[in-house]
Amino acid sequence: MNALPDHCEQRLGLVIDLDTCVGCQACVTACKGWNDQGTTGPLDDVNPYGTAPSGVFFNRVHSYQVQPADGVAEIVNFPRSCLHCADAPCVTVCPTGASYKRSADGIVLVNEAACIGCGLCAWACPYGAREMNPVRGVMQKCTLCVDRIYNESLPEADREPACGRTCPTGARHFGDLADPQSPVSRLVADRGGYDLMPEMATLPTNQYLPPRRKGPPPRTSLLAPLLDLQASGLAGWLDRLLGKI
Amino acid sequence: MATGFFESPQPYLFALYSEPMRRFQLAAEGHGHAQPPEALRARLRVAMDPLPVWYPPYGDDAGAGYPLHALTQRPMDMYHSWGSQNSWLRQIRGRNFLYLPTKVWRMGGFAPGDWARVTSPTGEIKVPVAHMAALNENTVWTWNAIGKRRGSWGLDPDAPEATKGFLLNHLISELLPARGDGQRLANADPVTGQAAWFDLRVRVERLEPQDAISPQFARLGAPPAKDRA
Repeated sequence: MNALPDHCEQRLGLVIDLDTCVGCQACVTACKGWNDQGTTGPLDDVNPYGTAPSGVFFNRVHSYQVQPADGVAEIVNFPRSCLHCADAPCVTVCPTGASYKRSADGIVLVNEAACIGCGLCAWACPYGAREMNPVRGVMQKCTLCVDRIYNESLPEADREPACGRTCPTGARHFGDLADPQSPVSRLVADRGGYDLMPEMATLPTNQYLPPRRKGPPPRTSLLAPLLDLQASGLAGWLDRLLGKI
Repeated sequence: MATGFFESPQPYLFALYSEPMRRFQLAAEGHGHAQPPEALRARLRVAMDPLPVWYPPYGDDAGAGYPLHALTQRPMDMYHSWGSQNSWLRQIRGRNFLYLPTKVWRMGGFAPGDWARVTSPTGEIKVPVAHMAALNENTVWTWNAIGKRRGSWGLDPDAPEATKGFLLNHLISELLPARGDGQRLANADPVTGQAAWFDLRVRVERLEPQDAISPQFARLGAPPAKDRA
């Protein structure tokens, strides 16, 4: 069994924006594409061509329909992966010490060689973030793409988790949440980022930004100040001339 | 830190006038060396307008009596898949539903688990349906490219893609309606090449849950030397 580190120099994690996520699954496919073929692979599948295929995904996106009593119906897309908790119950519950949290950057990993596949960590994790490999019988999980973020053979722009690198709407931000001045920490402060299920006292590193409240559509266009621009001079003459034809 | 395409309300500038479209239109008007076939000249002159233009969809006349618009969208995960079609994509989305707006759902007496007969001027399908409130009251839609013919793609013949997944293709005519000269044009938008480009009209009626989607076609055989059975 492993103890959790008293202190992590960095707390690397993701800030996920539920306002801009459109549920396109790009992060899901990028995650499985990278990790299935990388050092953490394979992310095995069972009966991939059968009637009920299943397999390992470190990152999944669920889409929900929401009908507020006083507003327009919405679709809320919710990406779900390991939150790299400060008080990670999956680590302390592990009987073999296979599950551990790094003191340098706070990433939670599984040493597959020591994992006996008992599944206790999956029971302990309140977020459903652990994924049992059905073929090899070991537990797998999001590594925060630890084989990308420090990988000097990759161009610098690619040294972030595959999910964030691919997100077309900029809904996934990677950075150090221990540094209050980091861009991700400032984003959390500005947008009211929150812990998932804080009552579980896991102190998750990953943060979620809430969808912005969607009220009734504005009565006047947001662009109204720009709509009644009056052209003058030569442009005004052209505008009047063109308006006649 | 960027959190979207735009950080604040601001003008979004885009070109109203498309010069490449005007070049095609000029050709239709007789300018230049490259000239369209005479039979297509009039159609190109209308369709290649360089400014935003609206004209009744070519299949609109036949749509009377079919009050709903039917749309499809290819799942984004298929576009995003690295390399090619991975077999695990079907775990993300292995079956589809025809999504019905609240008004259609209520007036049709639908309940969760129901199916529907969907009819267009061209054909009829029987498919599973689901309620979607965030949808305008005159439109139904579904994910495209989920439905697969039995035996195709190397899938189990009873895979959900073959039994519960479906396409709207059977509702869409291959050809535009006949004109006076007897020539039939492909039912494809002359600019984008898209078939049934926002002009498919349907009506839906509630059905009890079915065992499998309709129509069904004979199971495709295995390719030569690759018989999985």
